[in-house]
Amino acid sequence: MPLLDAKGLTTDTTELVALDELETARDGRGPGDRFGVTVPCDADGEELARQAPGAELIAIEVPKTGDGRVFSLAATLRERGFGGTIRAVGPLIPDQFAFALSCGIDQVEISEEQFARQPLDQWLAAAETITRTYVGPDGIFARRSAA
Amino acid sequence: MRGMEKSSKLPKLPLVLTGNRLRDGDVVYFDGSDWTGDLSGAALAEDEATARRLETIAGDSAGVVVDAYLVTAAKGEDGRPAPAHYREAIRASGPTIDFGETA
Amino acid sequence: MYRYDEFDEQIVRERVEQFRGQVERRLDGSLTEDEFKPLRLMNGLYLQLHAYMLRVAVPYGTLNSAQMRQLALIAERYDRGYGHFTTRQNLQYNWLKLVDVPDILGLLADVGMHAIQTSGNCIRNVTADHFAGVAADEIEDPRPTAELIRQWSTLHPEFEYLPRKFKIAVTGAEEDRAAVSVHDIGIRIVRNEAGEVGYRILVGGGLGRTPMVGKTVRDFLPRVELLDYLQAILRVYNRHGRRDNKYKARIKILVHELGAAEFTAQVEEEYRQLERDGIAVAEAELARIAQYFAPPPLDERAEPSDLLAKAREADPALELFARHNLVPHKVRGHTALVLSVKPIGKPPGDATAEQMRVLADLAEQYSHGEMRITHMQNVVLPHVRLDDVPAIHERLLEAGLAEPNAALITDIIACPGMDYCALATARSIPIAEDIQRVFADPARQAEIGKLSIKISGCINACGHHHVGNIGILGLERMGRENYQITLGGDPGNATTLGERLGPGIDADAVPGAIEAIVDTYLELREGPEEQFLTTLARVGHDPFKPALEAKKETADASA
Repeated sequence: MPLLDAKGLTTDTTELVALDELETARDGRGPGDRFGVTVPCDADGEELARQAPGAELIAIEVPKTGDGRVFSLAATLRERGFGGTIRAVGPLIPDQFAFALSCGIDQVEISEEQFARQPLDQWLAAAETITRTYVGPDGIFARRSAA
Repeated sequence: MRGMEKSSKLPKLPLVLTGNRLRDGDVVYFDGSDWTGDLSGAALAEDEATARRLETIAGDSAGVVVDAYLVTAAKGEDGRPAPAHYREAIRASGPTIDFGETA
Repeated sequence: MYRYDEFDEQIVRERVEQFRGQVERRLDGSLTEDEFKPLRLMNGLYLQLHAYMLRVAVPYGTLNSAQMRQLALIAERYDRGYGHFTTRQNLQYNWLKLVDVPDILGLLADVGMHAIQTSGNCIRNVTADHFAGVAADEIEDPRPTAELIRQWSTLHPEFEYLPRKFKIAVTGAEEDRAAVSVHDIGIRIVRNEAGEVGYRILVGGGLGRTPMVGKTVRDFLPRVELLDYLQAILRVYNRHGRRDNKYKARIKILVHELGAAEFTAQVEEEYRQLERDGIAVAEAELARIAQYFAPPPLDERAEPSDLLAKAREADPALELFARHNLVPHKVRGHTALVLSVKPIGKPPGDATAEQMRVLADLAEQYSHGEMRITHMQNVVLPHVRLDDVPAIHERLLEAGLAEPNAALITDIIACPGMDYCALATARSIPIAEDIQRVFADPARQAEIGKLSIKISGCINACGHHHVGNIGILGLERMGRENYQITLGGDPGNATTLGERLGPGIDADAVPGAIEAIVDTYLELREGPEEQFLTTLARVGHDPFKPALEAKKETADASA
């Protein structure tokens, strides 16, 4: 299924395992092997940051377009120091891409059907429509106080 | 939302297919081949097979009409469809109050 | 008033172009209706019974003359020559076409307005006391705080897709005119024992099908901590609010299910762990924003005004108007003038383009160019000299805006109801109009005194019927409109929800029933100064119950 990041279509060979298999998988890994976990979007970000600090990737399953838990989960993971890749898997739409990136999500995986309707150019354009919002390190609040 | 699943239970017959046009929001009814603003010109489904055909049209018209749905209509004396419920009567003829410059 | 800087301007302009693109992608099939709907809602655009409805934000209810004139222009060019002031201090157009909306948003942006987050499952337009900066009982003008929250919540990446809509209200006064305890978050500006100004934070209030009064989660929050604390509340809600049932998705249900103590503990825990980056922002921004809300230069003048007193004596209509529609101003010799958008027998809150222009002109000439929209669906000229009231009154008479009924029984709040709204189960406006006609006589209204009637056309309670002294809820029963009457609601400091008087009645029985309730009140009250709620508290619901019974026989005639 199509995988997008801020630059465009991408690939990622990180192997996804269940959370309780992560440690075993990582113990036996060869050079270049990357392991990640798949979690539901009601996962507890704080606990997850504690349990999976060694994961190279956390893939968050998003059941519906309007399910915004993924944004808070990703933001919490980043705040608690998770430095690996965060992926949202599910029917996000291009208009949510900028929010996803701002919350620390690196990749979005969508269905072929959706990608056919909403090809890459729509995603990249949508990510740049709003130059800057108020919050965040490059936000308007930060800009004003720097001025 | 009035999404329609195949073989879902139909509202009471007879019925018409209606919705709001995507571009301008106007109330429209399916007249058998196209969409019209006039309820009395709508196709009245009096049997299940016709109703199911209208249901298919609802599904196919999502690019033109928003949330098309089947709704029970009355059959007027002239045989043409008329509203069976006060909500549909207001949809068909507009607000029941004066408004704007006429208020 | 707040004025956009280059950043505010840019975000609003970009938002217009973003929506233009979204409309195009909906029309060309890139977006399905299910995908597009939340996007249009977040730009205030609903599909109602007859057309698209656009809800324009009037942040904390404050707007200037240029903005009002632009609203008039849009009403004429794209709607049917009028607009509707709402209970959340916004303005709605009822007859728009989807394809016109991007241009309309562009016209709004030209005067520093927008429709951002006036609907959808996000943080909605922040409301505030409509007498902000005017009222004598104010600790501080709530609008800088409200503006700070507006900015923070605009396109906040984490909170655009909440479980459900989220409403915040702020008041800085002792009397709560913003109904903060029936909001998802209510903020009261308070002073602590050390004399510092900060916030009391209430969470989990709301009307709708499960009305609840908000619980205090922090008695005193230092003001620089506001944004971070809101962040913690919103994050707890976004993670744990229910998403399985839209009727249980508001934060009030989460607070109720967890219990206020546990909810507060979770918020405080989240707050403790949060990366606190809002504190510096709040300090600098509040100071920057507050400058814009500096009071206009008003000179103290004689009070009472001789000129007004003489004019009142000479003109009974002005006398009535001045008695009911003037609100005390903290600067001597001035008043906040309530312009009733509730003429008898017309849709409550509707104003024509022509009326909007009159309002704009009057504001410019007499009120430092400023107006307020109230949650009572009226307009306030906040800074008027008492001496100017007679001249203003004359202009209002010509414009049909001089109804002397502020806070009286015909100053009815009503949602649009089934005449417009796709969610409604019954009509509201004709009910309001019929009741107004019954009580049209100004002398009779004055005799009754302050009494609020609030009407909702469905259980979602946009007409705030739960907090009306008399509340009316329109439902459907066996294919007919049916109205339930509640008594005893009060949105103020001692927030109280009304209780049902009895079984629902037909539409044409409502005015008679209300009249019987009012007559009972007049009979039972201990004097003209005893308000309806006091009488009700003393005598209970029982004496009012026959009001419903008596009207049953006449009910059958309704269509």
